[in-house]
Amino acid sequence: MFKRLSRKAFTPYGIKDQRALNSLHYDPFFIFGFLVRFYLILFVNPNIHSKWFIPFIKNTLNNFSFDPWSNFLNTGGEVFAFPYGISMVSSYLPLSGLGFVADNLSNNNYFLGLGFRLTSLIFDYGLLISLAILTRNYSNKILLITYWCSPLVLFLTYIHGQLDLIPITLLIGSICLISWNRFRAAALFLALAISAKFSMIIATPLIFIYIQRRKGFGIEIIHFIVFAFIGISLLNLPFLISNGFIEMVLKTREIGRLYSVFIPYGDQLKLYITPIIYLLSLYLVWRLKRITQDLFLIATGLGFFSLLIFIPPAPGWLFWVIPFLVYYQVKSGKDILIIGFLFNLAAILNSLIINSSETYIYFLTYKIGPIDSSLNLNNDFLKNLSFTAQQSLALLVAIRMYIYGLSRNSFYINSNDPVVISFSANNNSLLNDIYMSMNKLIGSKFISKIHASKFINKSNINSYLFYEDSNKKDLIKNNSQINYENAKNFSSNQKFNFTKKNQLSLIARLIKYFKNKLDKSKTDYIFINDDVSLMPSTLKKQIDITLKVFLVEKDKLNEFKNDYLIANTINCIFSPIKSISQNEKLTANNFKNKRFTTYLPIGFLHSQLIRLYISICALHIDTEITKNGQWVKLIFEGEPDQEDIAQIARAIIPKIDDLSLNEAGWQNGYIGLVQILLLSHISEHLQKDQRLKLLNFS
Amino acid sequence: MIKQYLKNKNLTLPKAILFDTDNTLYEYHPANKAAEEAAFLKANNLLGINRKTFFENYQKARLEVKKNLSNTASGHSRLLYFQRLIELLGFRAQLLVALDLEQTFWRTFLANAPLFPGVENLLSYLRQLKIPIGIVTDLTSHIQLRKLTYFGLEDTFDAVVTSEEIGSDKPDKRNFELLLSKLDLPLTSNFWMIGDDPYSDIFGAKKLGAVTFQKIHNGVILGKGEQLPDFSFKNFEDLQALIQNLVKI
Repeated sequence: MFKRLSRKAFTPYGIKDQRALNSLHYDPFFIFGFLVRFYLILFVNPNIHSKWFIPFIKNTLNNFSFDPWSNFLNTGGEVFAFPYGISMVSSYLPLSGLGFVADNLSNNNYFLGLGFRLTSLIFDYGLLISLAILTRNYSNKILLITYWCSPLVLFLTYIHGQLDLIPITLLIGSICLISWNRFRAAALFLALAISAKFSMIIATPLIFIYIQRRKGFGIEIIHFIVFAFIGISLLNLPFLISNGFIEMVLKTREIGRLYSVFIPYGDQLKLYITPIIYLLSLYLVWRLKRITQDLFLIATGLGFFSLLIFIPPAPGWLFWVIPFLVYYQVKSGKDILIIGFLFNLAAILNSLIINSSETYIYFLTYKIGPIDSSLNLNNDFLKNLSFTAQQSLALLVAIRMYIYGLSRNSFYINSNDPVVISFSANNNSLLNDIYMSMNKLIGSKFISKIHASKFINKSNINSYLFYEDSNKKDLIKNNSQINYENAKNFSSNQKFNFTKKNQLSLIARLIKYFKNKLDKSKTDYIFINDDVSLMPSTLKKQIDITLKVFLVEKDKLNEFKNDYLIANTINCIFSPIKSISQNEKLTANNFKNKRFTTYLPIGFLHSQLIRLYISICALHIDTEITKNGQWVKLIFEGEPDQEDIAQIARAIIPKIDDLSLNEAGWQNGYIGLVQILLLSHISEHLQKDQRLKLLNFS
Repeated sequence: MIKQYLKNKNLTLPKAILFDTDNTLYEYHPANKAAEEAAFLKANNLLGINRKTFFENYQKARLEVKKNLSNTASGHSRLLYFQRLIELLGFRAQLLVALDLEQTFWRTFLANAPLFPGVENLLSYLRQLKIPIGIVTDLTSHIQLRKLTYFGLEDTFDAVVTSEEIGSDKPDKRNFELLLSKLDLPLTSNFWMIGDDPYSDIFGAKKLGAVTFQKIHNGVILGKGEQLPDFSFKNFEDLQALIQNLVKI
């Protein structure tokens, strides 16, 4: 029920996002880009449209058939005319069809082309909106400058007349749907993209890896694979009996470009470069253990850039990199705008010089052009120079994307190391509840619970680490009649038994265990039942969060001397609302009616948490600053709903989508609050800029 | 752009600015719609009622409560709406369900009620200018204070008055009078009222001689006759620019 509620009541695109999207349309850059497009649609009829695409569509409209390719070839059409699948044909038919009717009624030959170009505009707008959704927390202006006003986009689509916009829009739409966890719809969009242009199949493995990394081998990836398979089969298999489809779509000469760059191995063998680059790109994505939308889009863009660099110039293929370049430019701000703009110009110039076609632009009644062939040169050196300029700028952009988008991405750096959460608790069942709740939320694939009893044999060490001696068992079994004093002094009594010899033994075993475990494991979060102060310094580097869970508040809890602990320790105290005097027996009922206390470092999370807890849950919260001025003590009363917890988490945890959480895994009550605290620390750790650590001289 | 309707008003910096909350600081209707949808989904799950039954009876319950508690803060209480809805549906007094529906409603409402662009900047600018600002709003104090807290405006306003304090909704002038008295201002002060509703905000404040500004956006109709504001505006940025110009003068 909760899942259903969260899906419907909290749309992936909220009112705030809708408002940002609406504001996009009032931006002067949007209006400018739209007017330029409108002009180009009205007054430019690209040569490849009139030579190839329009005759194919016109033939399909004249002689409607479910096999338009064979139909076209039978009427003497050119085999290169329309190397696209059924979804591309279907996309262009409706508006072209209206234009065709208008042409017939008015004895004209204009509206069919207009309808065709308007279809491109609709997909162009769709791609802008998809990119706005993916970059919703970033600048709309940079998006409009880099995409909507991009000279390369305008040139390729409206002057040169390429149709690669359609499959790319469908592909980006599929990625949007994945980010909203709509896997079935995403699979159908991918199938449509592949059907539109078969080359889109190269994005499929990357998307599979992305989903697998986010969700594991769960129901989501099964849904995706099944629906993608059904979609691709339905949209392609029926046409395999068509000679026209095979000749025009599958045997397209574009495929040959993939094998045109090679290293000769002697006289007989060739080493093809592009497939190697593609495999390396796949490996680049594969080696990302935990993948965010940022990392996925930048890594995929890098893959496409690598292909672009190693294939002979194909203007349509340039479009593949554009959404990924735009995404990177929007994320990285103004830094890369100039290089991106230069790449735009170089690609346009190169396209004009190398490809000869005769497109005319009309300015009012003046005919300008043919723009392509006017620049078409016979000088090979200049052609090569232009091509080199385009490729070197592409390489420069790719290198920047790799360095600044990937290798220096905080999530990329931090997610390579496990996050170790050390637990310290005097109630085993509570600890287990917290562990299980995190397991459900994050997914068992990403969590490994390491129990110290696996590697510590000595009973007195065990008892210290886990409080599993006879007293502790009594504490759990007989919690209806617990002597408060015993419980309170329990840990300190045990501490005296911990000898130096035992500690050395513990350290040696821990190091040995972790060396094996951490090198081999792909685990992201590890829970250890331990006191972090006992950890050897080498291991402390791996320990990021210490969660101390208590049933009663310890004296002087806030007086931490170790800076590391201050920054990373979460103290969770579940105490009875009624204060217990020292001689009073503690009953189970006291704990049922409990409150929850936690300490947060000054400036971290507390002001937001207080505001959201009061406004969303309408429950009571007390706060005070500790004597040392480093902590804010928060005392929560009244247990929030699971849905309240989920809403607070969404508002409070930065980049929560990157954590790929299971929405149904949020817990109600105080365990839910512990989840929020832990996830906030984990999220902060993963986003933390590693370079800042170098500045931390302490 | 600020539009002026009553030309005889000589605009000067005010002694205080009063704000309405709902549909003035944020857009009310989309948030309300999303919240009602969430409440329906929960009712559907808990009580097994369909959409038509839910919304028909919800509307009926709302009208009944409003009729019984006309022009009072409790007349807007979602808890009372849901309690009556459950009764109308023939269930016993399911108090927990009514409370659950109310919590679901407001939780979803808040999640879908972002402040209009420019509101926070305007309010912090007014604080810089040391112009006292207050809230005068209908509905119960509890939820209105929760809303302001959710928006992060809990420390922003100098005074807040809800119609629960007076026992009657705006345009009852006692709401405005109480707010002015909380701000230590005489009733004859030069103050501005900013709101969306021509009747409760504009007409109500005009009775006390306020300079009135109507916030215009989707679905808000400009007041006419006695309810015609002195000024109307669409963006808070424009209002801030107007105040900046007055400061320069």
